[in-house]
Amino acid sequence: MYRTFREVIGVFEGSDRWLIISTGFLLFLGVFVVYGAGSYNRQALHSPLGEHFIVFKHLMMIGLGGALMLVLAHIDYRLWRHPWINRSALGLTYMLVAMTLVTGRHDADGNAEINRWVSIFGFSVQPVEMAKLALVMYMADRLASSRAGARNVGRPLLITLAAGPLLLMVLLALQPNYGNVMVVAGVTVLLLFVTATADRWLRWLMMGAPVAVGLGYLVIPKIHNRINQLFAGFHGGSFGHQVDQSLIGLGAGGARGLGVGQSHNKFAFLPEAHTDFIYSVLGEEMGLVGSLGVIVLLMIFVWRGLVIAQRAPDSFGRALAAGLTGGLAIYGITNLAMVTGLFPVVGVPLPFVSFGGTAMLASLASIGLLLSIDRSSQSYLVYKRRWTRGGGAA
Amino acid sequence: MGDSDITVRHALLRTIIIVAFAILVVNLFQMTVIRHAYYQGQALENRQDRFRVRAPRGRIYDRDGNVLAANLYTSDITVPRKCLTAAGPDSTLNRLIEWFGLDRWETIDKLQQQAARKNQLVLVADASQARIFTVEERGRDLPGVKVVTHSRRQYLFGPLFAHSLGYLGEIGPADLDSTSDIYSQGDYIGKMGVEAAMEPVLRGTAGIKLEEVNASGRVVGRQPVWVQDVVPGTDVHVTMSLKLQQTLAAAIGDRPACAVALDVRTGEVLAAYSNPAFDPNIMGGSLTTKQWNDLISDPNKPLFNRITQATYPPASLFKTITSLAGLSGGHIGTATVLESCGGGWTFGGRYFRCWKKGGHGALDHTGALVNSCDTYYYQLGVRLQVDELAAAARAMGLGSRVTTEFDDEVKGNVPDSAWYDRHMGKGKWSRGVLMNTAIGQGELLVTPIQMAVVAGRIASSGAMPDPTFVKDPAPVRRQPKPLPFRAEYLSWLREAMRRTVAEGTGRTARLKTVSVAGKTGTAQNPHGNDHAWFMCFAPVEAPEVCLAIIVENAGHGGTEAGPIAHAFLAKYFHEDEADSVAVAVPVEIPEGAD
Repeated sequence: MYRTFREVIGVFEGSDRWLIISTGFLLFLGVFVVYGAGSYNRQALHSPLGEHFIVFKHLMMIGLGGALMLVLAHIDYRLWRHPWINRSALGLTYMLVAMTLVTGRHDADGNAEINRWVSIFGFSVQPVEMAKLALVMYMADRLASSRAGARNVGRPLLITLAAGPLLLMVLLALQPNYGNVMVVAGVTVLLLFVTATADRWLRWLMMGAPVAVGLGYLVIPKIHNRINQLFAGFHGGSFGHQVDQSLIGLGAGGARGLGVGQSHNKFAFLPEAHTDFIYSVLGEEMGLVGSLGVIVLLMIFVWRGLVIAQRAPDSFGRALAAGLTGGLAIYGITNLAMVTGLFPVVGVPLPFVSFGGTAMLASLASIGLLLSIDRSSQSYLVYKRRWTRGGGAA
Repeated sequence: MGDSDITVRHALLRTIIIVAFAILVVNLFQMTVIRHAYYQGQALENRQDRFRVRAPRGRIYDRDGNVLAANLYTSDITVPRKCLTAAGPDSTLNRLIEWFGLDRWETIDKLQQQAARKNQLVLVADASQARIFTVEERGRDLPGVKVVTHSRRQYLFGPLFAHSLGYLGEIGPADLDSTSDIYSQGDYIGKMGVEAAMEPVLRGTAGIKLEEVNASGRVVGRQPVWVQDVVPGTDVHVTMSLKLQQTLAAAIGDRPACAVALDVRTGEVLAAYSNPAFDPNIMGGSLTTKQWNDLISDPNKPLFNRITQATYPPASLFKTITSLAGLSGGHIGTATVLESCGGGWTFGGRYFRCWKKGGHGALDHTGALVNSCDTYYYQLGVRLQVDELAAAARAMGLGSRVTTEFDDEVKGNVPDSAWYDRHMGKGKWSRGVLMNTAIGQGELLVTPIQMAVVAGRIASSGAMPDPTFVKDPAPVRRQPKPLPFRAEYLSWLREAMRRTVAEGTGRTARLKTVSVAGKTGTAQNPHGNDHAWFMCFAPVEAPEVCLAIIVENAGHGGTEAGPIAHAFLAKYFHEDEADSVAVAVPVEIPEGAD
């Protein structure tokens, strides 16, 4: 039994220590803040666990995600390149995203909520989180395959883009979930960027992005309002209630914070205190020390993720690791910018810290994949080093 | 495109990410360090609410330490006005109605009546513990629903002390403007009697606390910060005695009447009862429109404090003052015999009747007072000057307020020559007015408490201080002015009054062991039957207590008011153990316990 446990845990030995440490610390901080912020959540009222309900769910998701991470870390990541797995994952998750357009969910007050959840076996999941994972795998595979002919990828690349990110973006825009549309676009560009797609293509994409944003601003009222609200805030007005409260929380926390569990914003001043706006509560409670800590940990995480990407043994691994890391980096930066009033409000959680079932699972799954890539690259490196040195005793 | 190209792009990506994080860090630093104070202020504003905490009002005790007025703490469950507009089966209001098992339409009707005036509507007044717990337990699901605890004044003896203690009423806009720092909307203040007079002492000081609240204004635990401590109101001891008040009320019964008894030595009001009275417990908040209308349309005016607000002609009680004026002015001696009474006297071509149709015959001064002979006093009256009589009346306390506590006390009227000039025209009145004034009729108007003071001043030769209702905290007392009458005249008057009770018109007030001095009166009432007056003091040798009584529309003072004085004095001097005088039980005054 003990040996089995050692074997399972063994994935950590020799794998990227800083990646594990930064993730672990983010999870650790998150649990404390979610406990406080979630204790006042109204969902907790109807649960026998009372104020412990949210943190219980949070810990459960970390447990599940941790298990998933270990499993994925033990599986060779190249398995996910198999077309059957790769494409059916994409198809299945896209179908789930499409399902959100049909089924809806109502919140406790009976208002129709934006359709972001589907129910699977009684569990509410946010399929977009799984779809993004599937998308990164799919794109990594396609871009890695076309690596050789990177200069004349024309049609295959267009097909890849259409079947992958564009379709998902359309589905998300219908939900509507413009925040994730943006994140998907960002991840796509990032993937194209790091897999050495021709500059010509990138140039088109770079030019396309502002045009798309401008078009969205003009045509879609929600985007229009959010961006206007942000600029109103820049000009000394209100950022809107949620962000105003978030800023007050962070600012009032000051350098040292009010102390863990002492946040005031969680008392219904700040909507979504335990999910998207967890960073504000964290900053209020732990002060600049805590909020800077989160940034440092995220930076360590991104740094290690990119290192793993760079030393991955094959181009699929490189693309996959860069896509996963970049995706989480975009999540983190977007969330922090939104909470601190630098970016319009988009419903993006803070990876590893925010409460959120599917997002937590997906984030930890990404770590599992990264660890798997790292393990292969390390054995590859060991092999390569031996080979270049002309062999040696093991 | 080679590996070096990819390395460049990775480097570029890292740079972009580092720049993004750097922007975040700079922004964070600015918020938490540079603008920290600003946000801290915002956060405080956000989460602290000022709560005013009313001070408990001081209790009122009688002179023997019995509680007369106390505070009862009750809780109301209130809902915000917007609850009325939010319909739906799961609305806050509907949930409450369901949990409490209230009648739906009746409740909504009740709330709508309040909606015009208030933001927080009382859903359940005087709520039970079970309901309060329900609201406090499920508070998070009931935005804006509050449990408001407040104290209600409780008068333990209901109408018995209604006029003298007064009652509490919601503060009016006038009081709010002038004293806005002390009071706040919805406060209750003393509206009458001791409650009004001692308001600054009884009310205490409201406290102010800052409580941390959530976005919907609900308090979220933690210790409040007290900006200003609650200072409870000071207890007040009144001079009245519960048992004497009960005796007086029982003796008066259900007749429209009032009586006031003073301690001659201290001027303290021992009992003061005005009938009909009202229940001060229902005044203020819970009074319905119908109850109010009943009170103000009652022809017997239950809200009217007869003791200090009603004015009557003093009638024959005034003969004591006429006598003193005559003696002091040297117009008459104590033994002077005037024209014999044959049932009336003619002056200025008019015939003035004595109350006794058959006449009293020839009387000396003492006999005239004892028998209250009008004829004698007509003759004495015309010997006086108008201003001479008025000065004597003023010296005895008429024509001005005798208490310093009751703002609603009226002065009555003592007509002098200036008054007649003003009201009848200079030269258009004659000394004939003295015919009426001398027997206490005409333009003379007095309050019952003034007549009690007259009795007390006669009894004490003017040493009795002005009456007060408050014993503790000790009020500032006015020093009595010495009477401008010689001591021998006053002692003659006391003896004449003793004989009035012993053998004259006031026999009904006689006691077995204690000598009583008194004077009866029958005030002519143009609107109906005569009012029966009686004033007295006892014991004659060393006066302790004095009393004035008026029974409206009752007839003769001797027969109607005298027995009330008897009942009171018997109780005071503990003669009632032998007699069978009915003693009232608290709160309810048995009707017709005459």
